[in-house]
Amino acid sequence: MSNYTSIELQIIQEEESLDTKRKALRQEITSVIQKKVELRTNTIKEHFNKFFIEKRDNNTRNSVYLNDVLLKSAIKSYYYDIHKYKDFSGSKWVNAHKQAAYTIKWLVRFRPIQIKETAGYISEEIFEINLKFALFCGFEFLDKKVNDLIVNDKREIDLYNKDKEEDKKRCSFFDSLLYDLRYRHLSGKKLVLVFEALQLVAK
Amino acid sequence: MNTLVVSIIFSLCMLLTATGWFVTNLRTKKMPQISYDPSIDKINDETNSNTGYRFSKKELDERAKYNADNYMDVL
Repeated sequence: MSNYTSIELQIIQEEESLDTKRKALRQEITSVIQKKVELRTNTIKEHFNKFFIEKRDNNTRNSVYLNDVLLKSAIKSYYYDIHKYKDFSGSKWVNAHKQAAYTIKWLVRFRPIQIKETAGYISEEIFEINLKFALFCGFEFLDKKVNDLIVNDKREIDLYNKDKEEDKKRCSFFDSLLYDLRYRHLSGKKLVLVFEALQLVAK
Repeated sequence: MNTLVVSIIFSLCMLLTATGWFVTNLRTKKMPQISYDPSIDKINDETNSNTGYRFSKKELDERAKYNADNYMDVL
């Protein structure tokens, strides 16, 4: 004799049917994600070699490398995060702010740029390199006006700070963002909200 | 005398019950439960100015080059 009532049995049956469908769908999603991971990993590697590392000084260029496994893990986590979100909202494609925010979140977490064992002097730039690379990759999705707003603010504040004493200096949004990315827990959702707010200002 | 005491107790019980019912119902009406709503995210992705979109590799290459040419003093 079953412990369940008829409505409970009906729910169990429907859940089992959903579970079967979900498993089949998950297989399809995993297959699409694998393709996306390959493509995006190669694109990011290309951008790192062609644009990002090329603009660094000699010391930095010779001291770091892009770790394949860490990069792939970051990109994979990004796509699983995005697909989890798509399952909930029912969106076909997520908007640019989310793509930027989650790219930054996962690249910051996995830190795919690593220091070579043979590296000599470690400059201050190297400590920030993963954060800046994450922003470089995230900026690819953002509106040019938003990127201009962030970068120009940083330039203006740096110029203002140039001949100021330490206690008179101001902090740019870019520097605050770097600080938050390094020391605070900045979730993807919060970053999305930050970029949406910047988009409003940049209109 | 007994009848009077019983009536007073009965009236008090009725009054308490009525007050309880009234307060509970008022609370329910004033504080409706709001369920988790995924439609806001869907609207945000698909109908706001930043519509959900898949960037092509070509577009991302162009944007990366633009960023490298214009923002590397900061990035």
